[in-house]
Amino acid sequence: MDALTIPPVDLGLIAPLLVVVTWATGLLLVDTFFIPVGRKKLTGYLAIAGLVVAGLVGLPLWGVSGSTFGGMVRLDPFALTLTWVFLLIGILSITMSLDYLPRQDIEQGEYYPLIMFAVSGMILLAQGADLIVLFLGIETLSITLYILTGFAYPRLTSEEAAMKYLVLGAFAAGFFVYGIALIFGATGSTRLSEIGAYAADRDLGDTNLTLLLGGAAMVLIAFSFKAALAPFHMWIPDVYQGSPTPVAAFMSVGTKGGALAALVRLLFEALPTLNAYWLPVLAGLTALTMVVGNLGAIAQMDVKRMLAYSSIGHAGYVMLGVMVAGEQRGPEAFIFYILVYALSNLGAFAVLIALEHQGEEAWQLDDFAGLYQRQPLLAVAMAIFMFSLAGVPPTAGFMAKFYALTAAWEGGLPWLALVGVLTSAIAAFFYLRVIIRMFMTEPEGEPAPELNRGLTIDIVVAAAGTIIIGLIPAPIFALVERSAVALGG
Amino acid sequence: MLANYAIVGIFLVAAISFPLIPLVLAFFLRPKRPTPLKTSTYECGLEAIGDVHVQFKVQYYLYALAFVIFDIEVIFLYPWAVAFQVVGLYGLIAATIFLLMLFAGLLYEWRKGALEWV
Amino acid sequence: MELLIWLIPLLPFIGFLLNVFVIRRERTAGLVASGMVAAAFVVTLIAVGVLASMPPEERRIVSTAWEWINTGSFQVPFAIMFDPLTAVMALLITGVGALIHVYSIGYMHGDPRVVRYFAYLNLFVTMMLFLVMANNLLLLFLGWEGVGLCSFLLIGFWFERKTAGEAAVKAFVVNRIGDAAFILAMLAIFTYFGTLNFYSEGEGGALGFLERVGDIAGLRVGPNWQPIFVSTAISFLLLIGATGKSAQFPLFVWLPDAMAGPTPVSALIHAATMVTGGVYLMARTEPLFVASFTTQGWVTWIGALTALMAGTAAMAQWDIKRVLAYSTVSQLGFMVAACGMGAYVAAIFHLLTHGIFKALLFLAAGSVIHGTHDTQDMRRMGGLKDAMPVTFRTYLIGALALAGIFPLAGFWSKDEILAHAVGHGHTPIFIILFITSLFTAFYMGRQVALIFFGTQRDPSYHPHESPQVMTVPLIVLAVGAIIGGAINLPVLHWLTDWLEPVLHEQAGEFNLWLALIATIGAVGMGYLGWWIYTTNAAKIKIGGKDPIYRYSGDIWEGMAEAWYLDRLYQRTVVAGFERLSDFLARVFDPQGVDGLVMGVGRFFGGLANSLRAVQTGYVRTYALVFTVGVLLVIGFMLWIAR
Repeated sequence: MDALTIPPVDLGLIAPLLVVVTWATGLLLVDTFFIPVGRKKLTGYLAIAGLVVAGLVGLPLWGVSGSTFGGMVRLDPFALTLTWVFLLIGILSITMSLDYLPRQDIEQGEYYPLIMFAVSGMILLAQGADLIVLFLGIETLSITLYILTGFAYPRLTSEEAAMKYLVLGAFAAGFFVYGIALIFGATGSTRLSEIGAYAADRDLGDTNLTLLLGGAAMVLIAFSFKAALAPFHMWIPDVYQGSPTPVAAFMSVGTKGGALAALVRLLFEALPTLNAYWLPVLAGLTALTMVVGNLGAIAQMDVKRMLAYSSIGHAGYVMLGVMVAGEQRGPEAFIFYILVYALSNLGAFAVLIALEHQGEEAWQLDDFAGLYQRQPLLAVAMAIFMFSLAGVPPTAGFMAKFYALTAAWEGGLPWLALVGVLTSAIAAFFYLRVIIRMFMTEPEGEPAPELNRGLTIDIVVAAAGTIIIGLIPAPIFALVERSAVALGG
Repeated sequence: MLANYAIVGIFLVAAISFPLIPLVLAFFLRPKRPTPLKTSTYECGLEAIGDVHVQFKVQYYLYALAFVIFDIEVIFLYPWAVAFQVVGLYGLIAATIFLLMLFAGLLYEWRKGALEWV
Repeated sequence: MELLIWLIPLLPFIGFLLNVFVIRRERTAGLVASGMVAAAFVVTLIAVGVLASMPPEERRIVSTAWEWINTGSFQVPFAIMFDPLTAVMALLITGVGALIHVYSIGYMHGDPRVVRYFAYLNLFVTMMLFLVMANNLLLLFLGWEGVGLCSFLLIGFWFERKTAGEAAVKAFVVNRIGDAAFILAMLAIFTYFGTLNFYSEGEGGALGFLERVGDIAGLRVGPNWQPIFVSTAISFLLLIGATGKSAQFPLFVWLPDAMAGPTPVSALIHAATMVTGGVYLMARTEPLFVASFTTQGWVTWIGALTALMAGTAAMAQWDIKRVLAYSTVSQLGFMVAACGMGAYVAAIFHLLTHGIFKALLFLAAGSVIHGTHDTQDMRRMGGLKDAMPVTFRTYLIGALALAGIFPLAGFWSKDEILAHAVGHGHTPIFIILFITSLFTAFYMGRQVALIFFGTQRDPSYHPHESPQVMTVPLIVLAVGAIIGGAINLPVLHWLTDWLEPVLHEQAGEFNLWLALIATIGAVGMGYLGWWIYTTNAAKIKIGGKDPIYRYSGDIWEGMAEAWYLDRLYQRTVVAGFERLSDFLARVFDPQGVDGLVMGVGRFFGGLANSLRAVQTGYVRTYALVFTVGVLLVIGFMLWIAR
């Protein structure tokens, strides 16, 4: 037997990931052994602490660029910044769950470690430099999300949502694996950089090109499913509506961020030379996504479902940055958009949670009637989120959208920028409808439940972030700019 | 490279034709004289009563899951054991971490009462 | 000085914050809001004084607060500026704005949401000031959207009235069309100039794009069979943006509906300031427009066409505010047409005088509405001149000014536009605008007759004069409407000289014959309008038809409906969108009916049978659509790989 060479492993490069995974595993045991039922909030606090520690551990890694595990995992500023964004998403999602779970009678200690595992999957997606690792990341994320979707299992809709998500998710995962197999067959590697070198250097034969393209197409489809690009978006409205609201919030930004981060790497490390093939496909999907998401939202009277459609539309705007990530402005626009969208959308979902009564499943527009009179803070915050999602200045959402449009326009996709501008013009309509209900109708129905601390913090942080980033985005831009530099090499 | 796929293809064709050929042959060769009795689901035995959807006790699933843990364990430990001389201390530590993670899973399962037969 | 110009938008903003977070009492809200805007007016006056003391070519102050966007090549500062053009706009906004704030104290008295009203109003003034003071397109767009937002909130302020909410949404959504073009224009400008700044920031700074329009001279974009000049593309996009905000054809449909808001709001936002934003934008980016001959043609014709369409529509309205609304659209058409003909000073001159006398007319109309207990239908008015003497006189002054009667403000500014049209050979435009100005006189005569003359046709209310807090602003504005023309008298042309550093225009010739004919025509048509509706006063019934209807027939209906443009949109665009959205919802959202399954299902034969209206069945729908998508994606990629 030949001597096996074990590739050197630098655990430092995956320190945040390591912290999240170990912490989550430990927390799962600590929770079952030491934390009594009824005091599960403690688990939540510990989970937040873990995510914060993971973020701090990442601090000294700023500026580090390197890969380990034989080049399967990569750390660069792009991945690190996204890691922080994902950790923030996790923290905000847990904060808004703290009181939601007991109120809905679905409090279980496992919830918090599961969110952490999902975050670890997202981080893995941002760091992965190998198709197998990306698959691992996507499955870690997905499987935890299947469970979380069905977390409110006494509720039929929740179970139904989990089932749908599972079936379709498995369907998409099948495409991913088959795509990997085809790509491996064509190039003899699953390493992104090696695939890229192979595709660039050699004059591909017809057969290999066909295999490679077929494989690439399947992997792209799997990512499109995760990121909710039309026509692979069908699961979104049902799943969001059925799952517990904080989970829907987490999913809306988490899956997009994770899947598209991986897509950026895949496209620009493995397949940059083939962009004549994938660019038209992705551009078409993006255009369709923006149209379907925004038009579909118009017909919705249920705010949670409307937000689900809006998240489809936003996937399209994120894609604007992804597709031109070969240029400096592309990944910048991508990270910035994900961050801003996370703040605004998590905030909007937090407001939904605040309005939710026990066991309630629907959030009709009428539930927002006269909210300004009843709870001015909530109404103003929701208005900020709606304007941000609609892309109205001076909110951060406008900055993000404008930047993404600029990136697409300059990256050679002006027609797509045009579609983006027009659809976002339409989008104003349904976000506005919420605002009208809040400010321009008399209150009706019973008053909303008392605002509690965790939610208040969430909403205030998200609203303040949305406004501040809109007015003074320069520091964030500086961060994003430096994160994007290392990419594409 | 494509040659490898050819083998897959041959296997595929062989796998499909293996059961298909006898069935097709039988279809052409066999005499056809159906009677009501012959076309019933079971030619012998009692009439089927009740739902076809049989409900299993949920514990079976939990046991199946627990089994998977140990199954995976063995699958991964076997190559490690074979290559033990080569991978050395590094391999030992890696395998220990792996075992610890499985152990955590087992602990969790035990604590949650999944091992009790209710 | 830099601090001084920052104070101008910040003062109303402080008022906004106070009204949102601190003030709870109606009285304080009105006083603080009015005080802040008045203070901003004083500061603006001082700033203008400082500006005037500088040599003309140096009259531009730019101040950067912080770097707004700062990544690599993309830099946008949060910077405002103060130059002669901004100065006159700021004076109009804060001056007229302050008067309208004061007036609102009386008009809104007793409303349960007065504090919120003043908060919105202050925010509006802030945003409008940012719009005219911005030194880059992005900040201008912030103000642009901000005023749109306030307009939306204020139109829907009386949401108890059913139409208010719908009108608010309509205004916002129609404006979004213009905004979309605006964003595209920004993208294009950034691509070709690498900056969104208008002018350089201080000495030695990088030049703004307005100073480098020469860069794109002769550049073309587009497909080979039909390339267009870059300057045309950019200016045309800006033009679309302006047509939305300034309510021009084909996007003017939102403005008449916007009258659902409180009347002072109509005066401030939908007459004097916000709707002139588009005209300001065109004047500000004048080098881009002048560079494109094609766009200028479009600008001119859109302006003239709008002026005529809205002018005729104004003649056939019964609602006191809708007359004024269409009249505003029509007058904005005058300004836009003037921009298109290159008469930017005349456009700004008309903008200023119109801002004064149209605000006066709206406020006086508000006084009428107030004094007649929320009556807006002119068929139910009549004979109010004795009960409301101050309102009557000020209204008359405003009407004469709008009609363009010598020597009131409107005469001078309108005459300058017409004179330019004649002097520069725009004969068809001149004819259209001249006819429109005759119509203007006619409908103002009609309106004055209907409201103030004859006898009161609806005896169910007792008209009374409004309180002093409302009439004093009317009187001040009336004085302005009388002497406002003085700022650019033919021989003195102060405004032309003042704006010379920005717009680089020489004063035009005064055309005495034209002035004479126009005045005689206006007097004649105004008298005709007054005469018809006083002599036929007995024939006007509540809910009845116009006396002219007997002679004009259905054309009058067309005018009353503004040539059915609104209905056309309802039938085509709105209904089309509704159908499309409905279709998409049904296809991609099986909560409705699983439409696609039925369609594709027929296509795939037996597949459809397995799909029933059971909820779990929908997963198959999703999988089906998924599969179709897969086939398309893989098929396409392999197809182009051939």
